[in-house]
Parts: sequence; structure tokens; C-alpha cells
Amino acid sequence: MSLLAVEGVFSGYGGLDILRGVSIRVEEGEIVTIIGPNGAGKSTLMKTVFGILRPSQGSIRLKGEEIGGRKPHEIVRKGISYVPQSENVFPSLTVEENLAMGAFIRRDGVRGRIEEMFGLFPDLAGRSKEVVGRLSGGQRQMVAFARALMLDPELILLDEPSAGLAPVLVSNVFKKIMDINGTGVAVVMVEQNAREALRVSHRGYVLATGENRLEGPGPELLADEQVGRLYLGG
Amino acid sequence: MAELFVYGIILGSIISLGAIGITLLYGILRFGNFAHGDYMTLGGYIAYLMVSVALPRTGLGGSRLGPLSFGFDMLIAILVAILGMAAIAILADWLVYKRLRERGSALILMAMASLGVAIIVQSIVYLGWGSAPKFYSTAIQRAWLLPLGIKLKADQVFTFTVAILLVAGVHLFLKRTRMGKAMRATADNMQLARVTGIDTERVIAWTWAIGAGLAAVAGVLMGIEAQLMPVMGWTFLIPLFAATILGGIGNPYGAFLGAMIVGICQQMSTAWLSPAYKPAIAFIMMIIVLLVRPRGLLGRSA
Repeated sequence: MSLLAVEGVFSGYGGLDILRGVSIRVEEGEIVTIIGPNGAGKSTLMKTVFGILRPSQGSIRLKGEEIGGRKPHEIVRKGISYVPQSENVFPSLTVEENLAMGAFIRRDGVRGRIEEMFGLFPDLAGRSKEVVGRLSGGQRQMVAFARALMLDPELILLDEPSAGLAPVLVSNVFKKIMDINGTGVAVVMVEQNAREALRVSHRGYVLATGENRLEGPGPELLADEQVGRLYLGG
Repeated sequence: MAELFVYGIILGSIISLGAIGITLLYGILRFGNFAHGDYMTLGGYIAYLMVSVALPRTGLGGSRLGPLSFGFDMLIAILVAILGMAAIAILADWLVYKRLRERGSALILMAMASLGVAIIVQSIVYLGWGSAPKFYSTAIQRAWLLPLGIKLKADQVFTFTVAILLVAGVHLFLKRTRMGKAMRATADNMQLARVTGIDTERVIAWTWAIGAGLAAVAGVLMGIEAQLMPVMGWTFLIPLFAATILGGIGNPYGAFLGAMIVGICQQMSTAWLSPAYKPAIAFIMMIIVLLVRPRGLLGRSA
């Protein structure tokens, strides 16, 4: 049984379907990247899996349990976390408070988990009392990752984790994603930096106009001539 | 002048209790609660109901606490007013605002709905207690004569002390408690709060409870300071919003600072102007802030 199985999902905004029968699978411990042109429905897929949008058709199963149409605060209890593309931290809260909010539904063991996060993101350790709004873009992204990991999820959804970051920081973000995966967490990410993302991925999907186009192991998609021409810029 | 300054701080204390509620609610719900003044009024009258009818029947009441104009019964009455207004505000949210939220209504509709709630609450006060002013106590209270010719009554010291304790309490709540932090997180970004697992409807209920509870205390303190009138909270909206906007809407520390400044300016103005102009002073301050620094003293830049 797959960790996450999305099958034939239709979803969108206000009755207009952006996703038209998308299917993806994620196995335990995998990194899966979803690429595709703007408007392909990549972010819509993330939002639908996490319950921000309701699927109008299709099924979304987590370890066999149907979660399609459930509310985000219910889904977060099932062992999935989500990092939105932008505005993914609480700017007026400190680093420590942001992490504590990540474990809002849990009452104990929060302190220890925060320390574990400081181990995984040593950059944040010395800044626990700093207000997140004053941190750099790269540091904020680490706060967003750490916040999403606070509940020790089995799967983390990352919407464009490298968007808006300086080029020198991008490779650092992918390195962190591999570190996160190394702790046993499966990762699904949507990325514009398709080349770097596929390089660290076990598998990848190409979406276009709300439908599955191609899928395969990361290196294979990287080598695919059609993918290269259409989505990797040459 | 020194005396007017001190009276300004007392007035500012009362304004701050209302303004902090308005600013917290705005931070979470993004609309100005026009019923806030009337929540103050109803809170004041609930306490009146307690000290004039309910508590004397239980044998409590009549006594006086030291130099204050009221007794231990008033402290119970304040507690009942806080709990009562918290419950009423949560009920009003459930009946009115929650439905609008679920429909995805525009924020301006919520503000207009709060105007409707204001009218309903004010009508309840008129129906329940009539239009004549009510007094908690008719006892005459002697003022202390302090240096610089300042005359101060024990009740005024009580007002200031209660306000400071409550403001400190709100500060500790927001900084130290799990729900307080969730409230700040929700004010930062409600969508993110939801995907983090925070039950934002519970946060909203807590915000109403705290805002309306503080308003109830402000209403009681107004009644202790002068008298209870059905329109007292409604006419108090201008200084409340002036303080909220001056401090930077959404920022509770700003609301406290703004309240003190508005209160002091209003009282000091009576050295030159008729006290009838006090609301105008607040209104002019609000307009100047909106023209010169719309985000307020401690507000975030857009």
C-alpha cells in the first residue's frame, strides 16, 4: 500500500477544475518531485491533498484511508505536513514560538522536539528568541521546514521550497530536503528549479494542463529529451 | 494642569480596556467591531443588575471596601459582567459573524453586521433599564488632596489599578500561554494557522471572550467613575477607535499607548475648551493620524 495515493482527482477554484484526473503515488521514505509549466495545477494538487481545496472527483488515500475533502486541521493529525509557497511562517512570532505552533495539537514533548529541530537546522539554534520577520529569506524557509516537521510527520508537502531564494541558497535548500528525507520523512515537492529537484528525487511526475504527462525515476526524467526541451530549459 | 493629566490617565485606563479588545478582534477577524462600545454598556448594566438586585438578595452588598464607594459585592459583579459579556459575545459570533464567515462574506458586511448588533444590544439596555441614568452607589466619596493640587478619589486609583492589572494579564496571556500564542499566530496568518493544526474557530471564540470581558470591565469602571447611561458606550466609540488607530490597529501595546495619549489629550483639552468637545478632540486626533501616519505609532508597515 502506498503512503499517499491520489487517483483521478478533479479539483479547482469555484467550480472551475484545474486538476482534471491527476494521479500520483508516494511510497514511504521517497522524495517525489512534481514539475510542469505554470498553470499545470501543481500547487492546486498540494492544496487539494492538504484539504485547503475540496476534490470534486477522485480519491486521496493516506495509507489506505480516504482523506479527500477533510479539513486541514484534521489532515495534519494524520501525519502529513504542508509548507505553502509563500507566507509560510508567522512573522511576528519568535523562531521558538513558530516551532511550538507547529506542534499546537500536541501538548507534551514539544520542548524536546524543538531541540531536535535545532539539531537538524543548526542555523536556527542561536536564534530561538528572534522574531521570524527579521530573519533572512533562507532562514525563514528553514523555520517553515522545521515548523512542518514538529509533529514528526511521515509525509511533508513542499510547495516551491526554493522559490524566491538567492541562487546560492537554493542548493542549500535541496541539501536540507535530503537531510529531512534522511530522517525517514517522505517528501513531495513542487518545483520550478526542476533540474535540481529531480536530481535529489527518487521519482518525478510531469503535469500539464491539469493532467499527468510523464512519470519516472528522477534521473530518467532528467535525461528524457522531451522533458529537457519542454521543462528544463534546453 | 497636573490634575487634568492624572484624570487623563484614569480616562486612558478605561479607553485602553476597550481599545485592546477592538484591536485584538481586528487582528484576527479584520473588521472593526462597532458593537464594542455597547458591549461596554451592557457589561456595566449586568454589574448594576448584580449590585442592585441579585447580590443584595443573597445578603451580600451594602458594605464598603475601605475608602472605595462600593463593597466586595462589586468585585463579584465585575466577575459576573466579564463572564456574562464573554458568553454574549461568543453567542453573537455564533449567531451572526460565524455564518457570514462560512459564506465568505466581505469584511465590510461583518462591520455592518456589528453595527446591527450594536443597535440590538443598546435596545436591550433601554428595554431593561430605561433611559434614566443609573448609579452603582450614591455614597459621597471624599477625595484625597495630593501635591500639585491634585484631587484624587480612591475609586480612580481602583480604576487605574484594575486597568493596569488587566493589561498586564493580556500581555502575559499573549506571550506565555498556548492559546495566546495561537492567537498571535492566527492574527499573523489565519490560513497558515489552519494548516498548522490550530483550531481557528476556537481562537476566534477566545478573542471574543477576552475582548468582551475587557469591555465589560471598562463599562463598569465608567459607571463607577460617573454613571450608567444606555448610550455611554456608543458615544465612547470615537475615543476607542481613535486610540486603536493611533496605536496601530492590530497591536495591543499600541492600543494601550494610544488610549493613554487620547485620554490625556481629551482631559487636558478641558483646560481651554468645554468638556462637550472631548469627543471632537478624539475625532481630530484620529483624522490627523490617518492623514500623517495611517499605520499608527506601533503599527506594522504594509
